[in-house]
Amino acid sequence: MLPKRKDLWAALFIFCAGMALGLAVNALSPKGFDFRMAAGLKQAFQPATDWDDDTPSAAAKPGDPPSPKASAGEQP
Amino acid sequence: MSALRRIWGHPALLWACRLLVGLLFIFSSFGKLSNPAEFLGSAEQYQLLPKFALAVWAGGLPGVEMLSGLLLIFSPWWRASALLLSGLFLVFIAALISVIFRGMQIDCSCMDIILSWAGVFGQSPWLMAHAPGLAWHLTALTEGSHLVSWGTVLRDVYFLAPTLLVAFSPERAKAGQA
Repeated sequence: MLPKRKDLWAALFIFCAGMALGLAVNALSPKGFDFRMAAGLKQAFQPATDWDDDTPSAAAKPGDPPSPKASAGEQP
Repeated sequence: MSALRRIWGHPALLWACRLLVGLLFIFSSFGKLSNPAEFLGSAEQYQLLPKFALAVWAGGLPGVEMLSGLLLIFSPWWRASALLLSGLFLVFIAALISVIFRGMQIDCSCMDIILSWAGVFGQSPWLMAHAPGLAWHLTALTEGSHLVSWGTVLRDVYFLAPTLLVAFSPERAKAGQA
């Protein structure tokens, strides 16, 4: 026997209710994941940029004016 | 034809299938509900969904499995639940086939609890002595079950059959459908 239209609507309703149940359990569970973080709605905490670091990524580009440290004869 | 229809629509067969599939989903949702973060990690390995959809899917799917498993056994909406679970099986099968065709070696992360029980039961000396065929079958079902393979796809097809049988069963009024 083929399922009736009301069976399809009931299946859709069960799916929505189940999704809500699962998401609620995830939010309340201590082992649950941070939904906003997982969904990409919130970025992980990143420390503020340290403008004084001497790593190569912070090194001056060819066209930049010399930094006070470099002009004082310090190696990067 | 009428004999086939009579067997197909037999209440005992219908109840057995409802119980099998319902328990399968209830138990497989336990592991996912108890550790959603781990399930998110497993679902991420499939590389099928964007971040937002993946979070919704991984968060909500265990609830869908639990609820539809319970309704399949205990409620008059068993046909609707069976329809939903058939759809889920088709989605799982499509995902597994896509993983195989992309040549990925990933953990299936499906039915972990049930398969570990089946493996323990299959290797028990009592079962090997009394029903070696069943013991072999259970062991074969669990061997290499962690990695996605054609065996994993076949296992899902194996469980899809009773789900479809329930969804398209001619039995309606007798089994309590409103």
